[in-house]
Amino acid sequence: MPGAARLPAAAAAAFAAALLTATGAGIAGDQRLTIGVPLLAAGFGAACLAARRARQQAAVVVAAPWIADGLAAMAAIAVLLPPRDHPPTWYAIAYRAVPAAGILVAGLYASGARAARYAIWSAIALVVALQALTPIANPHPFIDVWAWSDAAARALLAGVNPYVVRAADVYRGGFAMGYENTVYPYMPLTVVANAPATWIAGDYRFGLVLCLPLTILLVRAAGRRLAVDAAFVDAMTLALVFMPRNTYLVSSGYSEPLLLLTIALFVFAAAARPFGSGAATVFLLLPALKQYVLAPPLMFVAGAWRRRAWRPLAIAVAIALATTVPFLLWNWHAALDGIVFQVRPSIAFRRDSASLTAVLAALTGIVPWHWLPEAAQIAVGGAAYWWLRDAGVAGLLLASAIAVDASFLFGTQAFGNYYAFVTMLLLMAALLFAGREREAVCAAR
Amino acid sequence: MRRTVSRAVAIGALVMLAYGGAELVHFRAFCGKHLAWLRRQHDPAAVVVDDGFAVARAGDAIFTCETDHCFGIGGCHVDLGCYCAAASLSADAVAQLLDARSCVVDHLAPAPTDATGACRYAHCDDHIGP
Repeated sequence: MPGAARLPAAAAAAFAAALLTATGAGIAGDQRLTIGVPLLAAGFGAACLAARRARQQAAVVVAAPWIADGLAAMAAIAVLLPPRDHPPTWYAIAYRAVPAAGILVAGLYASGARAARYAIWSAIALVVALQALTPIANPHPFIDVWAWSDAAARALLAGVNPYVVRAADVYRGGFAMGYENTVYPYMPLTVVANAPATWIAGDYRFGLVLCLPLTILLVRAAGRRLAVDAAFVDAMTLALVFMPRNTYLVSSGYSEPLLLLTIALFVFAAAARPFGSGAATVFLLLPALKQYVLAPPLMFVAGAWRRRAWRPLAIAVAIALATTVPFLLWNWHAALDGIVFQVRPSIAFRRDSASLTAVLAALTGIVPWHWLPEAAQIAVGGAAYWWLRDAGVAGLLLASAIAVDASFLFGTQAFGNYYAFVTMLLLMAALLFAGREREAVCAAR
Repeated sequence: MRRTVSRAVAIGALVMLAYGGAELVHFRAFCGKHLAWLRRQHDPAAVVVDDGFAVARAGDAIFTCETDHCFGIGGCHVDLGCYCAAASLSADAVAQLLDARSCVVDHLAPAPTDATGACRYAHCDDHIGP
């Protein structure tokens, strides 16, 4: 029975951490602080347990009979999560019916029956189809992220610097977040990544739709490269497919699907050569895609430095810089303004965050120090990296997950989409721990 | 196979029941709009909303509206909330749009510095209309 698979102890804990994090991030509305944040905190605890096991119980194998149960519970939370805005009825029904089918697929997965394999591929097809229909069902999502990303991509296609255009305020001044968006507040690489789909299909979210199937294909291929138990790769696939925020990420136009795809590509490359040029280049694209990825590239550089992987490191840094420098040369003031927008001291604490700081603020009124998320990520990241420094790429991803998770839990802003990144890091750490022997062989090359 | 699928369905149902239970507790004890209604019953000058992210847009007035809020087996209670809607709309029109029991104008021209009325500093719970 796949649900009772035996796994390296660290892989089991990292997978449990991923399920808890994804489930906690899937809880919105009135239960965000009462159920969502405790689950997120439990996910952080499980990630720390995985780190402990990675170092102290590397050879221990444990049974994981709870995997299918966890997948079913996560899919149930996805059923409860409403679609954004007010989409057509057919879409709203499909939005909940697809994860409801996921509960059945989790049961089929646990049976290990031949039908399970068909069910998993059917589930992938269903979720991808739902995501492909999302920009059609909700062509103008009521969120500034989409408005800004769309305006920036269109500006680039028209030969205009995306950091000098100003998107229309979709809220018409109806929301006072404590700051005013005056510039595209994301990284240049996101504009470049969103431009083709905007040009071809008229909405960059069609490009995001491609991310999930590509991510799954890469994860499964990496699983084969690492000789990971096929049943565990299937569990990983289902975790990606039924992550409660999955389709919400696409409908809102968040950049996380690009990040998830990048991590999958990294793991695929690292499964062959952990600190080779390909893996290094892909990993250093993460901070080029999202500003909150702060400690992981530092950890990667430290790891590559220890292994004297100078050439891959130089290539990776050059390529990462090449995604940003042209925009700085184009108009350094405007581009820098956008890139550092989120870390300005004037950006207010968001009480609607899914974080421990939001719970503290609700209970006591105490608002976190502005630099707490950056400080937490660097401090926790440093400690996690030191603890896991000899655990290879799996350790790098786990330390990255712990560091980024800490900066969200203790941050000034943290929303469901942020935790999708942490979930993916944890899943990939689990995959690598599950194929650890092969990874060790690769690392020794 | 039947056993594992039944187990998954049971877990899914249990999770949804637990979540529903938490929502029921929230509805019965912590519903912010109902607590606002209770506050106003005891003190007609009590504040309904004075923080949050939603604020009046240019041309919006703010209305206080009483609505019925029902939660399946949990029954129904009365909510009192602040709603931002075009100042050109009458209170009755807003009540109709919201399917509310009744609405009254709280501020015709709300301002972020205005500390009077039930809905202060131009804050509201929701926006009504485009």
